[in-house]
Amino acid sequence: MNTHARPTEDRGFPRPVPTWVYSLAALGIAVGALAFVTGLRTDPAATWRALFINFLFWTSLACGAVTWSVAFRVARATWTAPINQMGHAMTRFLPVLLLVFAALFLGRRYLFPWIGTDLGARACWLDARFMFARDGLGLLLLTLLSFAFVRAYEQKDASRRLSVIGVLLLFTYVWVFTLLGFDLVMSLLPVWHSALFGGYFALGGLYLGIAALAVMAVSLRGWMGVEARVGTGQFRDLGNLLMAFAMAMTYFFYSQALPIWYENLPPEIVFAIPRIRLQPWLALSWVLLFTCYLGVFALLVVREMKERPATLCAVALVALAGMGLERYLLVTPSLAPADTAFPIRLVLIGLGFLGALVLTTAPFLARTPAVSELDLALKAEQELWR
Amino acid sequence: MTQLTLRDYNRDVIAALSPGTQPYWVAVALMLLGIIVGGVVWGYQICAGMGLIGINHPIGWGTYIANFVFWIGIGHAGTLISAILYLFRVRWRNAIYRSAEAMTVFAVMTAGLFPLIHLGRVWVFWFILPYPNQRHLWPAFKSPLVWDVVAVTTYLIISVVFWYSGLIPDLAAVRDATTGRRHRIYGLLALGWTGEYDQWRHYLRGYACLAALATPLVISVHSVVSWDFAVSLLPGWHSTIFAPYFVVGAIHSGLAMVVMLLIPLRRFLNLRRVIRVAHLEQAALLMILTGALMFWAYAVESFISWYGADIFERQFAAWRMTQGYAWAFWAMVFCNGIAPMAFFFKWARTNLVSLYAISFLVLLGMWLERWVIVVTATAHDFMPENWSGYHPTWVEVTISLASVCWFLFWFLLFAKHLPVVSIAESKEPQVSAALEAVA
Amino acid sequence: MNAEHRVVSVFGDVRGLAEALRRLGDLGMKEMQVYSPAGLPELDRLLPRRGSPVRFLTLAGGITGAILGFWMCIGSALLYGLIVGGKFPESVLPYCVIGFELTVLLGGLTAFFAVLGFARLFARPVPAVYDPRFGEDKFGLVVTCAPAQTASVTRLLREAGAEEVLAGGEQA
Repeated sequence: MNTHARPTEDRGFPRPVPTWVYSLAALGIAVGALAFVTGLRTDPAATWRALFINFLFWTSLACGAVTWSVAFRVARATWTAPINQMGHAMTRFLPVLLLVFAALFLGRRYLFPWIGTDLGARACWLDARFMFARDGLGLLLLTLLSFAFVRAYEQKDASRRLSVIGVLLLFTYVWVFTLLGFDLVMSLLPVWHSALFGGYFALGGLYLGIAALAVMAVSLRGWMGVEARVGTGQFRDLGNLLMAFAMAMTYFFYSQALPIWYENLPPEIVFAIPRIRLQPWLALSWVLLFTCYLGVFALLVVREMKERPATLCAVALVALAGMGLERYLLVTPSLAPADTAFPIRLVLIGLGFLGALVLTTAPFLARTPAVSELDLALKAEQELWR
Repeated sequence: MTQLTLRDYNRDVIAALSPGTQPYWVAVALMLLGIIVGGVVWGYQICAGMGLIGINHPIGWGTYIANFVFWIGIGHAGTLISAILYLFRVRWRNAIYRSAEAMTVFAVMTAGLFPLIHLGRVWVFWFILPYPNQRHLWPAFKSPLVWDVVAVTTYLIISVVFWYSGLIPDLAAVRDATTGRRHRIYGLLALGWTGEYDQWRHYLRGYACLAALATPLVISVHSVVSWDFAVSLLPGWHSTIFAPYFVVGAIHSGLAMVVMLLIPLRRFLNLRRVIRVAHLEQAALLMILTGALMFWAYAVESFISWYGADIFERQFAAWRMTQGYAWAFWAMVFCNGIAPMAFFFKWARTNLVSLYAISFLVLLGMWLERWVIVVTATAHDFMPENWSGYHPTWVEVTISLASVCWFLFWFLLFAKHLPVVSIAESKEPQVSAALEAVA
Repeated sequence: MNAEHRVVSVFGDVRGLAEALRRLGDLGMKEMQVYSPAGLPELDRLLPRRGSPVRFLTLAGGITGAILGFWMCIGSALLYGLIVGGKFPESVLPYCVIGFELTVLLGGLTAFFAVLGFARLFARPVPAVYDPRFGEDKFGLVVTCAPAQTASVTRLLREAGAEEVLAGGEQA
């Protein structure tokens, strides 16, 4: 028996979004904005850091989710029809992230310790204006391609154009996020470098994206009227992807840790030292390893954990929280290893980002068909392999 | 294209096992001759010593190690297609995965020869094996060379087990279609398989477990091989990107080898109905992805060489791109990263000539890449007084060519004596589709 | 001695087989064996015997492999306790490689031998009821029933679309 849910009619659209959703979202934005503004007065360095870490987290999540929906289309996956629309909705959040990135330029001196230092031959690369320009252009390109892709879907344009945009977007994601990883995170410790770090950062975005899609699939399927389309089979496949990417993250982490540990070279080990020798970073590193990396994998090995929506959602939330911790651990020990206080401002600003995400994506999901006709048409193509 | 019936799969695949023609046996004989020549030359190398080959201070690793890495890499696409695509329930793999798996087994057998050949005094190979002894002497498990032994041995065993498991139902089909001695031999190999539900339920569960285990194994084996280089100090070797870079390159080369093997296979064994151009097209599409990732890796590695501000790393990267073996470096970038982009055009990935030609370029590029990685780092390391050059001698070239003969010899035997397409799995989509309607 | 009859049927269409299984299940039949040229996991719910311990055994084999791998590495390093390259003898990071490989090796071998054992795949002669067409394009259904039920089972199988039905001899 095919355990994938059978296609039925969804409840139709536009779907009403409960008022309390918008109210909570607005409240979150207000809380986040207030935390940011007040924090600028009391502790600007920590406040800019909190905004920066949130930017890294939410940009990876949103771009990762969009990239997944594009990848599903390029790979001609038929089981992801309603999930694709959830990924498309994330495109509406990208312009907000662009604005945040532009705002981060104002706080650059708190974020990038190499500004104003002697960088030798690297000064041409590690120049704040040049860096923000190239990264901003990359994010802009990604945003424009995402919008173009979703527009082609809305126009039911199944021509070559959709495939071309999709492939371009996939390539752009990899290159842009590699660049972001090197520019925004690796450069926080200018003496340190790791060739795989850009790839690791890009992979983290995909991991965040699939976790977010899993949470959305579980929590929104009722509202979107696609319970019949998002069933045990879809949950199992989402769980398998989540598990695979947890393994991949562990692999990318280990691929960096092993050569660095083995050769023990000062320019490389300088990144690891605060994270494995100082508290609370050491304890947090262990938590990260056994939740975000190995923990998610171990939990999802059991098939029932994947097939039940509640447990899948719980594990996906663990992955999301773990990656939040990961972003925090990537930045804070490099910039402020002595700042060991609980990052309440980080959480409050995070609520603001969450509110903005809901505020931008909910209207899209409300007025868009839960399943695109383009995705339904894909089913017929699979007959080729029978 | 008319859909094949269930019986057609049996007939077409089992018909390919008919006794070989004269050209076939001539090809087998030629390959055997190549192996014998290689064996004689290897024997000569053992007697006369490693001075016969081109490696010397400071370049201690040369063509043999490049061949080892290359052949291990070839094997990875087979496991990707048979295990990873099985877990993703990709249907187009059904017609081609058996040949790809066989390619894996024979490629790993070929790769395993080279550490022995490179050892020189091959009779001491057993020193690296972990066995209890009275002096409590154990291999250094922190050494990447010991990791290699464990990883490659595991890969060979699991690949053989996985390959044989998939063969069992098909061996039973061949048993049922043959008589006499062939019937008895295939019957022995089929282990009494009858296709009972009680057999299938355990078999499918076990096969899925093997696929789930083979998947991380694919990634781990070539990562372990990459760490032979990455955990060293040498500029050009010591890089964190090596593990995924090697794995992607392995899959890239393996896909090219699959295409190059399947094109003549489907023609000479009359399997064009079963192994369609559409299958080859899917492999070509995957090569776009792997080729793009290879190009990304080259760019990132070059960038980090400059960014890291290490003068040794910078001088090495600049030399590799502009002097010495720069021709090999740019050839590898073109063959691996740029040539496969031609597969974006449908005509390129559906035309057998272009498929074959581009796959050949990829194979050439990947071999060059292994060679560039192995040789250039030791040729141009920290001290200018150490800088030197390397050229393989006739001994290395002969043994390298003999290894190709060894690989093709086993593949030719496989092509005519074992079902090259999975009969049982090829039937599954039709059967499943029929059951979907009633479920 | 309780004699039972064996009814062997041959189906050309898997849908007929599924229908027959459903009806036989409604009739309360438990002793059934299906022969097919391809795996039919879709029929799991129609047959009394389901699932397989192979997965659990594979997990056990894998865990054993992991433990053996780490034990071999750490144990052998502690025998002499030499400090090499400034690293602790019992460094876990490099030993993850050996531990992981042995996890896969023992897990894979356990899965393989478990399949051979549970599926009774050793070189045994093919049972008499087996028809070579079951490896080609036909599906077999063998029902073991009481003599009094033979006629009704035979009729049920024909109605479900069986191409051939052989009411076999007694089976003690």
